[in-house]
Amino acid sequence: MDCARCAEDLTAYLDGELSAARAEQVQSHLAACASCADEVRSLREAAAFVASHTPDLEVRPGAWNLVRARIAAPSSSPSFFSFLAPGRWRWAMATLAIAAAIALGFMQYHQLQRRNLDDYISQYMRYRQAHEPAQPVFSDFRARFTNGSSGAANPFAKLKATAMGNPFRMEDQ
Amino acid sequence: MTNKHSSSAGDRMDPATLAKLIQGAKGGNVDAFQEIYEAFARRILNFVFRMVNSQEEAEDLTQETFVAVYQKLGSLKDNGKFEPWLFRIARNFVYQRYRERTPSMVSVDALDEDGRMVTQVADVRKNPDEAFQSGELDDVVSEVIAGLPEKYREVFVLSALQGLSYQQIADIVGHSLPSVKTDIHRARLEVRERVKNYLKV
Repeated sequence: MDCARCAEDLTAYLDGELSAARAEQVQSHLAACASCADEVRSLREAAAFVASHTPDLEVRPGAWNLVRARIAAPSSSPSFFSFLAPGRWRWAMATLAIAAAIALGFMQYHQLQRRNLDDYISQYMRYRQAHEPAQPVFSDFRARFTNGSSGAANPFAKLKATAMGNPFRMEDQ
Repeated sequence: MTNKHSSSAGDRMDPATLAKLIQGAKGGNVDAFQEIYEAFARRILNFVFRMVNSQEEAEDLTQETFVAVYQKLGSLKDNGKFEPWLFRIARNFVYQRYRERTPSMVSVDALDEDGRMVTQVADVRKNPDEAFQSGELDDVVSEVIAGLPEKYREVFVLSALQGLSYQQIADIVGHSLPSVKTDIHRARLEVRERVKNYLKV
């Protein structure tokens, strides 16, 4: 083991976090290398210095009562739906909610498309009514022949009478 | 503060007892939860205190942590991982509190080169002899820890002061084991650099 490799492992060595084999390698290197031995000594001293000058705060008396007051209220009267909260139920509900939201969105989109089409058709119809003659074009054409305004007889008058019958019925033949 | 120095590894509850208490607390047994609180409250308080550097805030966040722990205990699947889970919740409250602070409350000097928060500290480069004579070494060390970049401060506090294993720390901070190992090493080097003058004294 070289010094660079040893230096990387020194903290883990001091914390007892190396495997037995690796710790042995570090130990052998420290026995042979004065520089790395110095390094580990100073790290150990610094750790001891810090540990001896970090006084702990003590928990205030009565601190538990504050926690207890807050946890007692909701846990004493669990909601009827509280069984839905933990673990997999929560995920199942979330998945269901997302699926429902997507389905609803899809339906809304189609309804909107349909409404747009209906609006378009009704607008178009209004436009037709506003810009085109009240009588259908065919009526004008028919009037020309029936009223005789143009002086010509309706060439289809006879045909019309016969065409009313069903050509496929045997009794009409 | 008292003169009781951090030796958190010494007052651990045995795993079987802890598992039993957790099971009881999951079933709504408040007395069982009180025992868990009494076993861990001091450690959480001191972890949070070293992170926020304010006793009042540390007490407030410790209370928040234990209320949340009681309410979320049902979601803890592996009772053996209670300890890192507890510290992780406390850590989340610490970071949440940082985020709640408005930018105007944080001076530019309190941000490190990566924009992370560094607690404002007094000048620790006072004369080591004076500090030693006036018994101010506790304050010096507090300032040294508070002056570490946030990333190093949390892993340093969790390893050096709370005595947690590297794997537990990785679980708490959500980083890989090699990354945690490197961060702890750099934090220790940084701390040694900052206290080296006092070691000579």
